[in-house]
Amino acid sequence: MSESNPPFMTGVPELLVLRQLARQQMYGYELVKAIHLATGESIALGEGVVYPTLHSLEKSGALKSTRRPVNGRTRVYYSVTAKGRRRLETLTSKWQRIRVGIESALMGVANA
Amino acid sequence: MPDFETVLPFFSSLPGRLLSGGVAPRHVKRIIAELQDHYTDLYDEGMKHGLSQQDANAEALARIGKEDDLVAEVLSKQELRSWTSRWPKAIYGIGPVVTAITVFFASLLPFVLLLVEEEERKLYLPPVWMQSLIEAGFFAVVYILPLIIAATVCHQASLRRDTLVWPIVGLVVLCIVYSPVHIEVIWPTLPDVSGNLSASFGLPNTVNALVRIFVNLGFVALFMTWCRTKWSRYIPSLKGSKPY
Repeated sequence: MSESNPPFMTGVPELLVLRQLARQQMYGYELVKAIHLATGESIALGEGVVYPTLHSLEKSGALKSTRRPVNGRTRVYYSVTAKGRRRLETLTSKWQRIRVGIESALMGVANA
Repeated sequence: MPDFETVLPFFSSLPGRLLSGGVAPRHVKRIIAELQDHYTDLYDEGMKHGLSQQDANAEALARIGKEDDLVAEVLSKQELRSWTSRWPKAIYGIGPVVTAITVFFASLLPFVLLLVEEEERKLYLPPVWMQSLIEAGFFAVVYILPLIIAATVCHQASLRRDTLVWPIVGLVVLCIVYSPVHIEVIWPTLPDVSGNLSASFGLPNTVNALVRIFVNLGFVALFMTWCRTKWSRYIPSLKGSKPY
């Protein structure tokens, strides 16, 4: 299992959460599974870390939550708001730029 | 069912660390409740894959992550911190006395608007039951209000594991400033005779005011001791009750 690097990973959980929730509303466990699937399990984060991120996004208005009883338990489902979609666009373009930058740096190393 | 006893240390130490870090109690309760649900799902998944109960517990805990990482992640989110953690001087230091003075003047306002005839500045004579109600209201504003504020501050400060410096400063100031507060109503005895309402603030220069300061400070000490004993160990409940 790869070690996580919190300072470098700043903004990544937020991006992944918004990306998955933009497709459909989910509760925490479901969301973590969706992130694992989407990233091919290449990003190693403690699964509990998703909750502070969800709460923070909800507090900023990027997400909204609804409680639903399922099999005797209350699940908290999260979905993206219009503000969250705009935040996702911003984060996506930011990370696209970083990706291009890193790729070109790696290519530069490869070509050197 | 997962064995919560084996993971009890995790779920019982986490809330205290989050509250001490200034995270708002409602966020702590929700995070704990959601983590418990998540843990249960992971445990069930482990059992479905044929793990023993012990291994399913261990696997579920490992996947949730290290407590230190989780605490660091939550504490890094400033927006999850409570108001009292962000502005302790304003909320605890100035809040009690501002609240008391606001309620004091707000309680006089309806009385003045409804019962004082504006032009002649006469006090209407209300029915006896209303006189009693008004006097009881003023008694509550003068004597009970500071105690309610003190109890609320002590409860909230203990529940949130806040340091006691600013709550104590705020409540001592409240006791000193609010103890000389005085409201007196003299009802008119005859329809044409004026009544009188007097309300005053001032320095605690009477024996009565000094006694009230010490009585109120005594109550503050009592509330603080009781709340610290009862609420500083408060942990949002594990499975079985509705946590949020």
